[in-house]
Amino acid sequence: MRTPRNIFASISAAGLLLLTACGDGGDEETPESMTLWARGVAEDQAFLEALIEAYEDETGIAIEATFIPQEQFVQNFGTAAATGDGPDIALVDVAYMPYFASTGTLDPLTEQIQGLDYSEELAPSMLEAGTWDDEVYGVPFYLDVSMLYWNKDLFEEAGLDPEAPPADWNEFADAANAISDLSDDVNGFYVSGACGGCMTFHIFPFIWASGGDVMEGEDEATRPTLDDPVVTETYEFLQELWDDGVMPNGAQTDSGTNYGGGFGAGDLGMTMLGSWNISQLLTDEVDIDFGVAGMPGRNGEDPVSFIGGDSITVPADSDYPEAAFDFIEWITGEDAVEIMVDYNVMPSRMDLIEELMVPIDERYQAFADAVATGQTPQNVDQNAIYMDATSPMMTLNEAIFTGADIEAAQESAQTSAEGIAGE
Amino acid sequence: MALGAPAVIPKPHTSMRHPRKARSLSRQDSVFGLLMVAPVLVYTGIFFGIPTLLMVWMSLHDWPLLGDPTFVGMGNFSTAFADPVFRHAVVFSLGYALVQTPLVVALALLMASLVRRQSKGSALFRIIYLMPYVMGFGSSAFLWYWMVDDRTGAVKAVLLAVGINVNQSAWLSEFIPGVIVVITLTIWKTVGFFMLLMMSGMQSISDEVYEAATLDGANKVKQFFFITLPLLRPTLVMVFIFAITWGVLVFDQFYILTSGRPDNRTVSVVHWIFTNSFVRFDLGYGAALSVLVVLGLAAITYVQLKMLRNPED
Repeated sequence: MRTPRNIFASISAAGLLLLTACGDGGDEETPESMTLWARGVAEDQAFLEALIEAYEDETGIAIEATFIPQEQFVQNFGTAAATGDGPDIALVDVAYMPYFASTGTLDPLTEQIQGLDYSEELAPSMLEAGTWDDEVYGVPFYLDVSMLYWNKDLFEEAGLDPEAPPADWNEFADAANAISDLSDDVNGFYVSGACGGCMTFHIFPFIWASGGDVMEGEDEATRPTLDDPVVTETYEFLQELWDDGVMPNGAQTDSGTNYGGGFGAGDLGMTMLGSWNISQLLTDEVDIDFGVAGMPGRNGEDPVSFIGGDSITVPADSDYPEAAFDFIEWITGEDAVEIMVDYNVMPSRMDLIEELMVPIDERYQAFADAVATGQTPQNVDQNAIYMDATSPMMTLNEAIFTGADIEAAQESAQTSAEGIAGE
Repeated sequence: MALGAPAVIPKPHTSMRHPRKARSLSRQDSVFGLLMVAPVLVYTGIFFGIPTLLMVWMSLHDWPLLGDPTFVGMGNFSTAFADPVFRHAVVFSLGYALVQTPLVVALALLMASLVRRQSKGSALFRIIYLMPYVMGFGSSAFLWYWMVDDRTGAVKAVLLAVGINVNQSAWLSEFIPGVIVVITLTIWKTVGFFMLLMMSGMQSISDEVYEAATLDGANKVKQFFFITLPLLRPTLVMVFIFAITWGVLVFDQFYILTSGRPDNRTVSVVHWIFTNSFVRFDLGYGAALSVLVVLGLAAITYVQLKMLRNPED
């Protein structure tokens, strides 16, 4: 696999010379203000506004932030970029980084990123997902990392070791069943079955840790592999869990509104959640004792987490590309990260997760470990193939709950996915 | 006296005018008329005409959200005819409209009959019936999403209260239950609007007609079938055209409640246009599908107008 470290190594000294030439001493005037677009998730807004205020206080450069509803961000940003009306800085969901990177919408930042002291501390899989034809187009900004959360109280009640998360899928199934057997109100496991994005977050780690994948190749050559034998094993395993009744009925139709399945309420044994959720579980008045670990592979292989989040980018039509990168450097620097941590937002800097978040709660250590080894899908059609309600992967997800033949469902999903990839 | 006779409106006598004078008058009239409708023409041109032309132009291209369009002629249309999801979506949307329309029209007719006369409480019921209409489809769909929830929904509570315990958890993932939930929501949401249209249609029928019919010995049922329904024809035509059009263009409710499940069988044509345009970023193909839907709806409306035309016209 191509790693960002290799990418950087492959960039010659000429790049560095260019960087020196184009650095702070460039022709660009210092702007009075710059525009920034971000998707309008309420949690994002609060911490971004705090960051922007701190930046303005420090530099005197105003940042005019526009928050666009998440569902409309790609269309609005894409249309604005196409007509030259885009912002100077944009925060892009990493799922869409390959699309924007491949269409010339963004400025390549490879050399500038290489010039950062902490370039090797940035979440590697997110850098990789924002890389297209050996150029890096986005700086990882904040992360959402999928992990296995388990309720220690319920583990204990079910006669399991509360300090030992499942080491392989057999132990996982045993634990899920033992917890479900406790009472009708308690369930062993939960997925948001009708939420495409949630399902990729829940399921990809099962597949990756067991040595499989849902796509292969890179850049233009990426193709879907929903017919991978490990995908078969994963879906058959999840189907079995559903048939055993370890998931509550509502899992099948949950379009994300019940994401987490009420883990905080204490009636769920295990679920796959992101780093946002640990913050919520720590800040809300939640009265459960829980643990966080990576989801192991089928036979106990090392976990591979899903690393999602937002990358920060400079659109190709930015009026102030150099000042925009200065902003990016500031916002990924330690002062800014301290503000993010105050808002319980996980930064993309592996060193600072360890330094600033682990002291708050030692469970953050699992996340710090996961970021280094985690994976971020890189596919220009990621939404259309894996996440959208009509996507091939969503029809495959249905098979978990309907009892349909997994291999047949895979074959049909793979055919549709190849059709989309070939468009 | 024949029932319905007073409703025949005598046609104006235009043939007595001097032909020359009539022509010059009509020219003046038409200039004045054109001036009067000019603002609307400009408005329609900008907000309907130009976008429609652009849509047709886009439909002839491979038009990505980002990047340059390429002319493909009728390529998008041949793809559409071979696209199994689109073909299914057409059948599904038409079927949905055909099931939904008679139900909502019949209910609206019944409700309009109940509240048409000024009586104690009728104004209150008119408001109650119309209230869901002012909510957006998106918010109503989310409301229903919670109402049919297996654990916490109101439907579950009501059913349990009358001693029925059904597992509702898969309703929104199965074809028939999912469609029934959406139909129920749409009827609840739109019936008030159709009721209002029909009520005003009914109120325009003169009371004298009913009085005459009563004197002739026609009971309420006969009056409904032989006076109300025939005289309501123009309103009914409008209601049917609205209901069928909205049915074929159904989107939000299915998008939120069933999201195409099971196996993309509840994907409506508009949902598929949306997916191709804004998920797959294939704007040219989305435009081609839109052109087909507009043509299809125009044909359906034409047939409806023909079928529902007053034979005396």
